[in-house]
Amino acid sequence: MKVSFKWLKEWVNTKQDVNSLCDQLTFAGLEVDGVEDQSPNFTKVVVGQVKSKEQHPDADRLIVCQIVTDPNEPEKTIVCGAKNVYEGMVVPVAVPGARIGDKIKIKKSKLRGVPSEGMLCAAEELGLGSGTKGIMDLPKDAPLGADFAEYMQLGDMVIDLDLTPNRGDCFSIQGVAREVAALEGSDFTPVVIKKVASVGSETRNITLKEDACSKYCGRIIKNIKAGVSTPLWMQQRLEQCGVQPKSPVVDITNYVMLELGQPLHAFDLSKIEGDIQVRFANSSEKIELLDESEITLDEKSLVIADDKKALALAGVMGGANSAINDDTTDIFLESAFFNPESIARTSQAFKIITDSSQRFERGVDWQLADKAIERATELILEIVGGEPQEVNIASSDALPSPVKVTLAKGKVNKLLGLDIPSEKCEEYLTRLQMQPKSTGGSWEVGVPSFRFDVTRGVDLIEEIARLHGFNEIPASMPESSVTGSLDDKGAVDFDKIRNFLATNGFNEAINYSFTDPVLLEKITGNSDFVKLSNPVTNDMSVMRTSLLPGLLTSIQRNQARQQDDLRLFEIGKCYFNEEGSENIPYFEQYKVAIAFTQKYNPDSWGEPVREVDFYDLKGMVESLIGLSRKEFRFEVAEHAALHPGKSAAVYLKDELVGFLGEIHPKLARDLSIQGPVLLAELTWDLFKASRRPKMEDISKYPVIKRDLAFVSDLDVEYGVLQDAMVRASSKLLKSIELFDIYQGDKVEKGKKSFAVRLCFQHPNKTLVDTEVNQMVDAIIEHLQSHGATLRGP
Amino acid sequence: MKEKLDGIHKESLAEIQRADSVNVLDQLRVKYLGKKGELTTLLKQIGKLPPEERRQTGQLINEVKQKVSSAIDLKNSELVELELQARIEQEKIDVTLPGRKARVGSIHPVNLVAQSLKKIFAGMGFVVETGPEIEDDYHNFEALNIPKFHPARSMQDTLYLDSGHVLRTHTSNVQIRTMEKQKPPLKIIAPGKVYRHDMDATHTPMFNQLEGLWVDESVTFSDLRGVLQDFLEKFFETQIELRFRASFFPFTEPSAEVDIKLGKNSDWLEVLGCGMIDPNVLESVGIDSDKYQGFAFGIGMDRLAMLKYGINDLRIMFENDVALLEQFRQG
Repeated sequence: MKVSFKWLKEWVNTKQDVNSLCDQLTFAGLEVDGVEDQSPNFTKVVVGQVKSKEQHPDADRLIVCQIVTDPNEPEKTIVCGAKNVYEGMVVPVAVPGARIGDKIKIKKSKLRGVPSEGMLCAAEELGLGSGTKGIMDLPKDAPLGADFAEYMQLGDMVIDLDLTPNRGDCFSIQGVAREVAALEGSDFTPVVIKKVASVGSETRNITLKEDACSKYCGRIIKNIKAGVSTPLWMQQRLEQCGVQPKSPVVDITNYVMLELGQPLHAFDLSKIEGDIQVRFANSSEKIELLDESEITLDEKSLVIADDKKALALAGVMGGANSAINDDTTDIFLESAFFNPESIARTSQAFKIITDSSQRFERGVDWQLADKAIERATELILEIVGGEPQEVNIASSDALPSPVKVTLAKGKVNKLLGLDIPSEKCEEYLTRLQMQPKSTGGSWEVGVPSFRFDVTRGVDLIEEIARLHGFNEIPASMPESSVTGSLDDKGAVDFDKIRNFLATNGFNEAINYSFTDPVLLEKITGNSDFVKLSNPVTNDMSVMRTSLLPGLLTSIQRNQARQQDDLRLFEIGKCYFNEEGSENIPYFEQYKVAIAFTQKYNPDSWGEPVREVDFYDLKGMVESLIGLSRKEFRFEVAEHAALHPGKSAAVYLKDELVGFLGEIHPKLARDLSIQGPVLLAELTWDLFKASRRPKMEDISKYPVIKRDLAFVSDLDVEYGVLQDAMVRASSKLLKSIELFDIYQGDKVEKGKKSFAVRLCFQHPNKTLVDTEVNQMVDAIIEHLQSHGATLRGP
Repeated sequence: MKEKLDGIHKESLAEIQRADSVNVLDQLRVKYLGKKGELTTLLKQIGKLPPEERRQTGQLINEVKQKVSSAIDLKNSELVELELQARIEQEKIDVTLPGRKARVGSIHPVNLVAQSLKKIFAGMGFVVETGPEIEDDYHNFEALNIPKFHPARSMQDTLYLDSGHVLRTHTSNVQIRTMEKQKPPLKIIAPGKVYRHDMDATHTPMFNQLEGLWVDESVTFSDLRGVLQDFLEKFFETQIELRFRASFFPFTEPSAEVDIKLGKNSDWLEVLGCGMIDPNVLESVGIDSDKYQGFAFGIGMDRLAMLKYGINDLRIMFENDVALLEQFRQG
């Protein structure tokens, strides 16, 4: 909300300058977003009067005026092109030496042969509001020769407040002034609001909707003057506070809203058929609003209606069918108290936010409606005249009543950790227009109706702390019996894996948890996703079920920046349409994804460059899973994102815990990603509760090594053979190293050869040849049954 | 014979002196000291001498043998040394050529912040807790004193699922989840991802928060300030100035925004929101708000990362440009 500093000073006797006041407000919870200096954009403009005007001898569109700017000085001749100039008009005159804006500099000159000693000014030229055309027509009592900026009281500062939702009471000049007075302990000087004497008793009956609208004041004002415009000072204040001036009656209702905080509405009386009803709309009832939009109401939309139709969306916006216009002579003025929730609901449902709805949904002083209607009437009579009728007030039991809050005295310092004396607390509360009454160990505090946010003792403690100053509160450190812990009990240690991968050259990525459904389906081969109903953009509209879309997007982005040899990983949740924990019907699961792209090592003088391949990735995955000290195995598998001939699944016992492989060439093509790209994705479950290491005895006896070469068909998988070797051996076989694979001239066509080194070791003796030979023979025999025979010499 | 011995002696020493390799030296050892060597041969001829000369001549020959042998040994060690020296010189490499480096990766700056905060708070006695990111309305709003249509809901632009569930807008849901299961005293932190319908130069629709909560019988607003001051100084590894501004959060009362100053000449920077837990929140999880009180705070970890590492644009946090990520290699 925007607050004119000059206007504010009419309401509170502050001695502070604008900057220190802003600091004070900010610290007290009324955050100042900024201060706008509205100093005039001109100099040397004075008030003058047109003594005479004649047609310019040589130009049809110009007139020559004689202007008095000082009774003791000769008249000035000024040539002017405006049409609205008349004899006796009081106008702003830019005299020689004046500057207007950055560009215009006024000098004595000649216009088509006639000398001109200045310029008559239009409002827009002086940066004062738009809408009015021609030279400004100032009131006749404006003092001749006076500095125009001073006369207009220009040079205001406008404070932009970012109000928190609880401080609806500060949504007005009155509210901010009250707050300033309380913070400073200075005088609050409100305008005096008198009851306007009515000249008649014409009215309309009013029917309330108890809970949603518990008070409604209506007043008819007849025979207002047409053709009057809103006084400049009022237009100026409205604009300063961000409200566009429209027409006198509308401007006055807005002005009172800005001044007091009570939104008002004026209907054209002639368009109201019968009585006023505050009611909920019928389903599919329609209304055209002031902004010319048509909305279809529902049964929870509160409207102001007459006997026939809805006239306004209550507390939010008036309807077009009852709007006042230039021909309006009789008006019906509304000042009501609506339930904040009801207005919030309508405003949210139809996505209409207005100055009125913003105030009502935060809350308006429930005792303000009658005062505001009197204030508005007073201003209407002053500006457009008219015959005010009696105010018709309807109210219901649902209207709030005065609140008394009990506050235990000891609680203040117990919560704040301070030592504020009771008298001080009472002083703070009194400054806030609260009425503390001491009754033994506590206070009974009468809360003014405008502080509807204060309902409990703790709310009063906050008020005391605010006036005391949050920064007066020292830092202390309590004793505690609770022992801290780094880990979420029973959960996985994310950081262990993070550190491992970072140490092995991988950069950690973080991608958004939502992703593009098209890409996600392409990558997972599945389309059952958790969907957002109001995504920020379409490519962030579903929750990821895989980390791969994010990593692939990161790869694309890096490759676009000529960063090709990537090692990336991400650890994060994936989300599924399955029953989850904590009674949430969605399942959240942590995954780890790894991506390896292009070159394994950089171009170097020292060693040949090679590209990454499946086995680089597999080795990294094996090392990573190895951290869990659990048994796992790889199986040939298919995955929508992976090359069908270069992909594997990882199993922990019988549980599928991940995939790895090279990107599917089609996917790489579709994403324009340059290969090779190796991808792995594992679920976190894998790493849970890793087994504690337990020492095995270290043998002192020599390791016996035997190198063997076997020949098999090309399609025989090494994994099968390795399993066979392990099964054929005892614990004395310590390791099997595959050190060569050969295909070519030296073996039969359609066959391959592979060479392994077997290492045997006994825990407590030296193995002899015959023992080793026996074991080797058993392995050879077993391999034969799996299609691998010992390669001949 | 004596002259002959002297001649051999002289000549041998001269030859040893001239030897320029271990090989040559080995040949000289054979030539003079070998089985058929000149000195050995001379020794064999000793029998031809008269008996009274044999002893003395034998001694002389042996002395010469000894000297020649020593000379050879000495020369040998000289030559070995020289040859090693030559090899060393030959093996010289250009040590200024670039080495074969191990690839070193990095942890994302947001997670570096999370790791650091977890350690700091563990040291202060806090326990890490977690909660779901897809949350129901009750745990994200209602239980936190944010009823439907409360204007505070529009402070947070929420991302919804069709089922009415939300992507949590803050980590404060973990407060409720934890207090539902555990009774005070409670000291927890909850780091994690949170979501808002918001995207511009200073907002990303996903960001990272850390929630803190301490509930006990007499934890005060002043203690809150103490804990914040302590952790912020540990985190930024410097003394900081801290100030509280009154604010509003539905789940705390009083509520404050906290600004810090990192060094005398820096500006005040807004880093977190905090306050004393609203009694309504305690009551919603069945904790007696007359007996217990406490504080809660929420910190944007992305913002902390930006401040700590001088990252000047929030949006690049989730672009995963390795040119940025590699700057966070672990030392």
